[in-house]
Amino acid sequence: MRRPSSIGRKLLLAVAVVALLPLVGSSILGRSALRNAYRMGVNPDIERGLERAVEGYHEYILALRREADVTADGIGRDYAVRQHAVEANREALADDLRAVLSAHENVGAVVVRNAQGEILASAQEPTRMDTTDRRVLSRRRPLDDQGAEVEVILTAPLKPFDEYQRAGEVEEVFSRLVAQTNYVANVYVWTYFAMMLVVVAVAAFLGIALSRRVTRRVAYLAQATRLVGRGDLSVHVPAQEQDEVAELTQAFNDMVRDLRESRERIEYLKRIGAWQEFARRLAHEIKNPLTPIQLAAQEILARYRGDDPAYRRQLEDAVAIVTEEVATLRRLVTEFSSFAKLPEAILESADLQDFVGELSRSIPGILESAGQDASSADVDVRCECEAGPVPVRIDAMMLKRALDNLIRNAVRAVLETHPDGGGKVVVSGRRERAWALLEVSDNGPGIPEDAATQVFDPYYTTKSDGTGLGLAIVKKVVLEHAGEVRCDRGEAGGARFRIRIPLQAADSST
Amino acid sequence: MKRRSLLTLWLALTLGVVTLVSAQELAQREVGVRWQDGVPRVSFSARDLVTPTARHQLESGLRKQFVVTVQAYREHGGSPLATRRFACSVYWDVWEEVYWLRLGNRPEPMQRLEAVLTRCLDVHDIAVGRASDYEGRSGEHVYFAVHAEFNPVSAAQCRALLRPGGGGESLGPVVINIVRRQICQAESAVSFRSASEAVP
Repeated sequence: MRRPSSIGRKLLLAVAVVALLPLVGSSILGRSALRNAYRMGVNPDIERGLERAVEGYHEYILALRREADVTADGIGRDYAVRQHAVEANREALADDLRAVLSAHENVGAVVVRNAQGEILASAQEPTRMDTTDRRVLSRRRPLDDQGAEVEVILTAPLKPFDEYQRAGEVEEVFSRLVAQTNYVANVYVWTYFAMMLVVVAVAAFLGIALSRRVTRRVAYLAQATRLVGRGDLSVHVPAQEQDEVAELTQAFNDMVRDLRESRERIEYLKRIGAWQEFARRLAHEIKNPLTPIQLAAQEILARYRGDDPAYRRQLEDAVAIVTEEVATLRRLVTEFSSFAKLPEAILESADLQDFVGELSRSIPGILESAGQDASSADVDVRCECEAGPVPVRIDAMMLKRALDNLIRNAVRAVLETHPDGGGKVVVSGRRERAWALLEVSDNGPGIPEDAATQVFDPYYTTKSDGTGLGLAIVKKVVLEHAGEVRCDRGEAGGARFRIRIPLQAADSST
Repeated sequence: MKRRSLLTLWLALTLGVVTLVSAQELAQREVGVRWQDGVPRVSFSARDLVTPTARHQLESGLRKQFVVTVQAYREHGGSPLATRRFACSVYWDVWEEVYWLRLGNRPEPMQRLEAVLTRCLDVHDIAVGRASDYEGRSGEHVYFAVHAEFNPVSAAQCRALLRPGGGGESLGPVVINIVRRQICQAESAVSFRSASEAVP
């Protein structure tokens, strides 16, 4: 099992303290409360009451028994019964016994026998002889000295006997409870304590589980921070929850992304700087011999005095080629030189709407340079911008140069695919959250997805006569505006370049 | 798997040790053992279970009970091979002035307490288990453990008398179950064992 982190231990400690404090407090209070409550319910006074109830039943049964003996004695001494028994007067005896039954409710039957054991008379009250709810007791009493006797069957209700036993059982268990007061109260306390411990254990488990969710994410953040510290800016920590840790994670991810973009920007600018230096030297080295080469070629042609028309034609072709290639080289040198001398952007407050308006005025010039008449061009170039101020800090000249490059590329691209008209280039400006967005899209052939990031590298070009510097200049200018430029496929199917530059903050207008 | 085996072994050892210790703790007493048709028949007396207090209670008129349990164990421990248990319910009937003894299904009256005690606690020739319980154990040493209790409250009676209170209390049922064990146990008890006997 992994050892909990420091914050995890602190959280666990907090959970344990929060859970255990009430447990200890309630156990101390509960122990006394439970004992007192138990003693109130189970106490010797009630036990004595129960004992007296049992004794009461016992005395009652004894009384029933004494009454039975007294009744039997009374019947044995009954003069009429004795006399009629001696006389063996069966009819009179039967009357006597019926009288006895009606006189004594606790007598169920009476039998008189002579000395030989012969029954002289008997009487019975069947309802009193039902042993399901009555107890029966037989008692014999002598009626004379000769051996005649009367047998009296005495009865008593069964209920007091059953109640006596039940009361005895209850009293016995209760007296045991009284004797075990401390034990029972302690069982209550310890059971309560054990259950509370279970509750604490569950709470601790939940606490651990919940704190793990937080500490694990904090640990991930710490680990990601260490990776960033070692220079790995590709780190991304997932932030799935909706809480403060998730906010922290999101902020961390944003920070790493900003750092990554910032580093990319710096690296790109460094690379561009190196390429600018290279371009400057190259332009310098190439530019100087161009004029002598061209002059020398023209001189050779001018000095030829011969009559050989074939040779003269060959010479003229060679001079024309040299002149054309020198012109191409001169154009390259101009572009290299221009790239090398590209100044750093000096940002000033401006409105994007004004900028786009200014840009639209340069569209005819761009179209003319592409061999199109501005009034009847095969390409429809539109500039539009969101109404209302969009404050930005820009170097208008540099940014216009960048946009010029993009528009020129777009015009050339749509003319290739729509040489007979129908080409469209749209330049739009608008606000997008904290950014000002400039978009140049066309309905040309577009840029392959795998080339979308390479197109901004210096000297990367897909055109036969391109220098690969135009988009590099665009990216450099945009980066110097603390912005970003991306290339993808637009809605019209052609290329779409999206330039985002930060909106000017309200307090940084100067 | 290995962990589970170790746990099982540990439990078995603990159980064995506990059984051995509990068997060794039993005092040995004169217990007659006679084997008949492969079944042991044992005779012993547990009269010392009846203390003066118990005697007084037996004369009170309230129903009391003796419960005698005899179990056959292998000498080296383990679970019982066979068990024989009987209960002797006694009360002094104030109405008829006799002791009523119920040993089995039919109650029988007795005039004297001594006769009751003799009948309940002087045990003669009772069979412990069936022949099948001892089959294949010839020559194995066994002993008989006797546990005689005076007036334990029966489980059913205990449940009836000690019930958890209503109202869905969480502690009630748990506590009642623990308390029942203590409250309903016998008022007094004696335990002893026989000498070791080889199964014939």
